[in-house]
Amino acid sequence: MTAAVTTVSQTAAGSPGPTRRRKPRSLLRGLLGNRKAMFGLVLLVLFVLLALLAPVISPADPSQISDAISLPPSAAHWFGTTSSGQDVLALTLWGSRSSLLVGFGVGIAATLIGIVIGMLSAYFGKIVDDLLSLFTNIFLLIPGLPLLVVLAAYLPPGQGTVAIVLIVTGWAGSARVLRAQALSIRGKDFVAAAVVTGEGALRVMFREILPNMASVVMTTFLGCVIFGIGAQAGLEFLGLGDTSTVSWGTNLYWASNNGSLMTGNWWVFLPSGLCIALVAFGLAMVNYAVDEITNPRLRTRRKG
Amino acid sequence: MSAPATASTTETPEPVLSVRGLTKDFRVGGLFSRNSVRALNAVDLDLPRGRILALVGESGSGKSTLARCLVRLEQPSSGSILANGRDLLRTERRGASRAYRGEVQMVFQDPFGSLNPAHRVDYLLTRALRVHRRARGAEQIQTRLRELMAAVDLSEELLDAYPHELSGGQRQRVAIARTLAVEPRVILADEPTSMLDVSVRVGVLNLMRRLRAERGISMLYITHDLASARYVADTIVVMYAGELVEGGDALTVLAEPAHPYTRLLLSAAPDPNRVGEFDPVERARLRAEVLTPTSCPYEGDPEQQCSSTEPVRHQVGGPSDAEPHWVRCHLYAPTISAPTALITDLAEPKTNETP
Amino acid sequence: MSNLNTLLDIKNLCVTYRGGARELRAVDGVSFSIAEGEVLGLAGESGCGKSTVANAIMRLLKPPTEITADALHFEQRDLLALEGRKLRSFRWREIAMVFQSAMNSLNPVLTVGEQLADVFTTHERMGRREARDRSADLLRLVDIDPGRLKAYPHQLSGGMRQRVVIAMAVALRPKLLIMDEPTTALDVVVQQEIMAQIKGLQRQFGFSVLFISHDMSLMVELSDRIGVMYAGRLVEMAPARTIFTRPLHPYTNALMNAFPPLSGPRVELTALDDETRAAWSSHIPDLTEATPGHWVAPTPEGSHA
Repeated sequence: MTAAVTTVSQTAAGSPGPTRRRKPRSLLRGLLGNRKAMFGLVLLVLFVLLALLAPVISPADPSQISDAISLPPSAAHWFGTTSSGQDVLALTLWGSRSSLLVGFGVGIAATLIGIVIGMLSAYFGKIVDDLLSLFTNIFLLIPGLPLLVVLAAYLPPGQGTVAIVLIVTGWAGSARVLRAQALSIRGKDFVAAAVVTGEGALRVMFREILPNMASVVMTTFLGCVIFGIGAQAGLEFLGLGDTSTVSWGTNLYWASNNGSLMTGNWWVFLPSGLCIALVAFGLAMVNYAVDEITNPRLRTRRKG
Repeated sequence: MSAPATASTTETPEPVLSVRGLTKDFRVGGLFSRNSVRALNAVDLDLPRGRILALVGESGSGKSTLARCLVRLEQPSSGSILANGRDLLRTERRGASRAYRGEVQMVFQDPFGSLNPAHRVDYLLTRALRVHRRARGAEQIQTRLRELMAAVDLSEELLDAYPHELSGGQRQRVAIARTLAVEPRVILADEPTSMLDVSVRVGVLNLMRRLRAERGISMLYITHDLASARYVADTIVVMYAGELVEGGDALTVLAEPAHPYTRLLLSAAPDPNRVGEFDPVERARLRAEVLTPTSCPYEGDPEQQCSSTEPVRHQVGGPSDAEPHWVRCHLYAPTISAPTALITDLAEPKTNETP
Repeated sequence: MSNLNTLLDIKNLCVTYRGGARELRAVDGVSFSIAEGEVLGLAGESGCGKSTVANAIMRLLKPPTEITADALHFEQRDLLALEGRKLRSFRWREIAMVFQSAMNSLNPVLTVGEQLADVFTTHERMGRREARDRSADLLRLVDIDPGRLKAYPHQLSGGMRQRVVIAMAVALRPKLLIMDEPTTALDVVVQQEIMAQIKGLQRQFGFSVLFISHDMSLMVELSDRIGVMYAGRLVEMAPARTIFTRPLHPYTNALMNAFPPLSGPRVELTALDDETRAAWSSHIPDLTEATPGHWVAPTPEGSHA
């Protein structure tokens, strides 16, 4: 057995720690070593690449109508065609651009707003906290879907609208989570020590508290992206998005509208739906991995 | 406290920091509750310049609250904090000014919680230097960092370390180094050794003594441990239930405690040198004296009349003592329901008292 | 004291924790014995292995943790060989333990009386009424009014809860009582009263005590002999008074120094600096008898006065 036996003397009371060792960015290093994370990351990178390269690798212009109507997958059209003769592969590839852009955009924006509001709430406390919490709670209480529908109906159609609508309905959840985390860190001695040292409010919030929230911010962000992609698809499926753009959601909308669901032309709606599911899956995998890394109790036992 | 300073060889210099009538109430219960707990009750205290003052009391006595008020982490409910003759609670109402922060620093109790785990040691120390402009330019900063680590007996190599790589004693030294970086006039140490392993405590206490001797920094050492207070401090004040009950030169007060509470604390402090066993009857008597006093040995004091309603202070010992030893009138009983071990942890009264 | 029978005999106890690919030798060749009616103090700081020794004696460590010893005998019976029913009946009846912060581990939804009675109904198959009577007796034993049987743990103060825990431990009159930091979480005023309680019970019933703590001053007041542990090994073992007046090992000295005197002149106490510690801590040899009854692990530069 070649396991290294550490005697307690190396870790006993008062002994100096290991000399000068730079701490690696442990979260990143941990992610790279974690199987779930790698799987999820590879999946996500794949989709991002496909989205970026869509103009190059797409076999056709997705909006081009042809008379090759409702053809099942074949050598000419790998994913078949829609009832308007559009190439499904092209639609799927081009659709990824919008879906991922809006999804990540919503994720970033909702997380940023959540950080700012959560942090201000936690740091200033009392009245500021009461007001911001009230504000957050109102947005949490408002039923999401009806609000989505109402806003989408009144605002001019377009990708931007969809994004705004999703951000407006999505920020409150992350704000609440981030506020809770910021509060728990706010109460720690090192924050008080920074205040006593003379650090200003902004510095304390963003250089003392925020770095300790990294993993929660990460998981919140991933959750918001999943929300962004899924909700966008949902909105568009209902026809409330911008039906003229190509995205996975609108692909599903047209598929449903044109009766592909009825006629069993599975190749029309399956790719887009599957893509949404796969991206969400990849994000969830990375999310689990981040949880695992930051909470040692969740780590699965490694063999050997 | 009105004994006029007669011309003596040792003039007590003006205190570096003082509080008068400091009171702090904490609201308990829900958002709209009216109930409150009084943590500090009209405390008067002077921090002598260039000395170490020990503030001794049990947990829950209010001593940490006093420190947090002094360092402006808590806002007192009433009273004043005096520095350089001015009341800070009036001149800096909202919060401490940067200048004040540069004068008064604090070492926290928990070495594992007072250093930000996301930052390395050199970052923590550099920030302290930068905020108060104690060093400018990379080279000056590097020199100062080395000096600071040497001042607290830590190897320079540890500058690159993260807090979780250090032991408890080392972390506490880093915390002390951080306060030194600011070059303060006062350091408040809130139970700096109670969470450290026993064998490293003396090292930290010795460091505090050395800093006082070499740099003339005034210190407030807060603890529940009388033995370490005696070791480190020049003067001592005893706090009970949010009020001060006795104060004076450390050796004198602990050799001749005047207040029953001080006597109680002293009898409870572990002392292998002590002769005789624990006497429950004596303990019960001391308790009663603290909780329900019936008489005061200083009755007839020409300077201060005994009072059960006013917390007057009597002078113990003579006026020629270098450090005045005062005690609060014994007749004054605690007005607030103090949640200290004394009251809640009484052994059940025996049905038949064993003589 | 030396002519009494040996109750607990431990020779070369080793405990190794295993986790994944790593191993940690928490206890490394510890040997000592406890005589009938003797109070042995085991001193040391966090991480030295003293709690592990206690857990090993009580057989509370499960695989993959590995316990080996040349001898781990209680009244000539091999503790390591006990299993199942025999082990359960031996625990609490022969050896009982008061854990660290036990007062915080009382079941919050059961009354004190129910928990005390549990000890009797579980180990002695007693009827409920008799168990209740015995519980009342137990409370009286630790100076708590039997009316408190109906109280819940949160209604009692910290000191009282600790006394309840001690009462539970002595309920079946064990021959050996192990106490792991019994007063650490308590206020200093209460600590003394708990120590007095333990002393009184020990005198009354004559059981042996293995008292584990980092607080040397408490230990000196209570113990007959004291053993000092560091990094899983014993560094010194001597009668309590001897350890107090003439500690030989630099680590024992450091532990004693942590409690400055409350009387007499103020003397500067030397701290144990990292260099000195490093000099002897990397390899701690076996104890040798420096003077009769006083065992020390030799240090590189000779004994430290």
